[in-house]
Amino acid sequence: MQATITTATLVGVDAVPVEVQADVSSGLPVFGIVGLPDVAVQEARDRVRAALRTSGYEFPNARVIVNLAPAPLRKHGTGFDLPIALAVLCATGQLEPRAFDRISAVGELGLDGSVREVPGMLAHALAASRQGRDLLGPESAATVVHAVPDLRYRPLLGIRAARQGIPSTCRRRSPQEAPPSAPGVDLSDVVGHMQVKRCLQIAASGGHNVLFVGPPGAGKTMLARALCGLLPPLSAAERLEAALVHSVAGRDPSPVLGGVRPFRAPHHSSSIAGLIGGGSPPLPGEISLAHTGVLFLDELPEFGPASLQALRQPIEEGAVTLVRAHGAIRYPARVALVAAMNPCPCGYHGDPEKACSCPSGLVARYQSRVGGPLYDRMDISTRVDRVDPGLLLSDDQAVGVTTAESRQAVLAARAYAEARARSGLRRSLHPGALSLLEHSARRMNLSGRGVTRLLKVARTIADLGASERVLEGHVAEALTYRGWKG
Amino acid sequence: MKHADRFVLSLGSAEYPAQLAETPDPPKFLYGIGDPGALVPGLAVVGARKATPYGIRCTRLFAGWAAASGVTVLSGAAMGCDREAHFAALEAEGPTVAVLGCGADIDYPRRSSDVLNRIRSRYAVVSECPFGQQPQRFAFVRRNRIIAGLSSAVLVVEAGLPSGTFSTADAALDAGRDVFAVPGSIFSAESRGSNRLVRQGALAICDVSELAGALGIDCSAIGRTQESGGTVMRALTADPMRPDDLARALGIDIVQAATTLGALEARGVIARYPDGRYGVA
Repeated sequence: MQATITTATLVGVDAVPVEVQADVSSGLPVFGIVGLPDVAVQEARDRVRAALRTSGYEFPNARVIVNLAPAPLRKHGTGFDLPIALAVLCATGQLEPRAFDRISAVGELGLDGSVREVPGMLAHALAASRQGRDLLGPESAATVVHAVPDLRYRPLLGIRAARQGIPSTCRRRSPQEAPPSAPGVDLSDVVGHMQVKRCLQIAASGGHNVLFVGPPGAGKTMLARALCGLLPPLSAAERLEAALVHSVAGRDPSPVLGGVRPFRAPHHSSSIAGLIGGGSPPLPGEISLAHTGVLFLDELPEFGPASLQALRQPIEEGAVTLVRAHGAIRYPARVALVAAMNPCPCGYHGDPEKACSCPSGLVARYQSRVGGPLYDRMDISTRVDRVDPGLLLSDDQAVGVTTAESRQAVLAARAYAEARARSGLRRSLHPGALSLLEHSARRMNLSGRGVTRLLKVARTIADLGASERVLEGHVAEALTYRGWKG
Repeated sequence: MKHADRFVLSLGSAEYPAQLAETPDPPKFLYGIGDPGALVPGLAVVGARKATPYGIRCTRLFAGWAAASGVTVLSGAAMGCDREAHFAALEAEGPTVAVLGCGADIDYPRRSSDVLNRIRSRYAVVSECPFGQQPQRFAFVRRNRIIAGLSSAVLVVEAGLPSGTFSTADAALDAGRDVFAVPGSIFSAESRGSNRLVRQGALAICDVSELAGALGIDCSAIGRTQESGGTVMRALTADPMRPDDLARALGIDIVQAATTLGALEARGVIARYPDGRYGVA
């Protein structure tokens, strides 16, 4: 007797449909799984056998062969437990096979027959809805999977419950909406740093990458966190896209689904696979987990040169492509990049109070550790210096704008940029701005890329000022945010 | 490097610079490359390696003027003020002599190698260390006394606290040389050392004509160095500031401050320091 249950396996952020075919025939009692299963799938045999017994079913004392089709595709993960169990039950007549015609099943089984969540529930939900199938899966995932519009989800607490027929589709539950700026740092929590706050506003408006240079303890991390709150609200499509990555990585996607932009700050000792993704089976890296949010690279020169080099292309393309022997996988990676570095190994080079103890040659060598190509992608550079303690303790002044106020300006600037005529960057330059740009480019030895960067930032500043053309003042302000390497 | 250019002067020989011989602790041998005739009493111009644009500008002004007036500019070829002093002298087509803390044939620091080669070919690079001697820490403090000894006066352009520049000033006093200092802002950490020298009695040099007077050179044709400008310019002339501090001090918003700073910097009248402050260029 044979039966087929539909399920899926993860390839990148997609769930690719897989058919679980079970064949029960007379012969020596064996339980075999074929069709490129990995170790976790092989182990399903023991879990399925125990789960069926404890749930009051009978495991056939016969030759049971399970095939996972299409056979050439590598299958991994524990999500095959439930479909394999269902296929065996259908093949032995303990469940009605026809009931599963329009259903895709996924879930891990406990030895007691309970159904558990697996990584990538959202991907499975998306795949099921695309195929026009209902998804049968663990009860605990019921909230998350409903991020997929028009998905019919049938939650199953334990495999025992399947005996009473397939559970009916459950009511849609929507994830809790997060307040717009939570849970990051509010700009008004950071005293002083007016120029840095302005830089963040510009970065949020124009999608620019930011580099902070400053001594330890100046507030670089806190300011980077504040950027999350300045960015506009996530659209439904963006939420789903970002949540998918988190789901596939086995993380809770509900904060992203609730509208909180992710903030990821990988340590500088992270491996390349940890940063851009990789491994077997491949998992998304930090840059993909930060998709739609902020990727903060603290202590930039301490990252290995190979890691920085690996980050460069994803930052440019907004996606990571991992090419492996059995195919290429693409993870989204559109991030607002904030990098921070000390000006020198001791951190105090150029500090007004504390003397730097590094020899001058070392300072230059330290700064050159960040390769030119990545450095070139930092549109805005700013010093973040320690705030005078007197200012820190005086509660009334220098608090400056709140995140909500600054965000208003960001939203207005984005709307303005959207609406304004898309003429060439050069053509929107006021003659005065053009001559200032040319003059300063010669004077400050700016590279071609440096000029382009300057122009992009000046355009965003003009958008913040709701100005159709880029004026002299906009270029002048942008000049103060150029990098220290020219 | 051609060996023919090398010379060794021993203490007591006729070629040995007389002004150096009369100091309390003259080196037994002076190894050099170039023209031993360049070792005439001159003006030592020394300052911090981590010089601010202010320090660089002062160095350029005073060293350039001295060299153009025919006064030999002595310095140590280190990064920052020292290198700038040699550079300014060479640009003014005036004599300059470098005193190293390693062999006179060694390019140290590496980035000064072009300046050193130009000095070797026209004037002289000297050291008390034998040829080929690699740089050693203590040697640099020792060489400061040679800089002071070869000069007739020492000008400290910019020095923080503590600073190696002080050992040059001390050696100058021991050798009975004049010590001049260029004062800086009282708020600038980079000028604390030179301001202290002024308090301790060094002659404050605020103008080329004052330096000329101190060196006994006629200075009738020299202009003034002070400048004027708007509020931002005046504030920055008094004290280099970060954009935040400038905005707070003048009561303007940060966008306006940044815009003004960018425009002034593009005109070249102010410059950005490595620490993010802006000051007069």
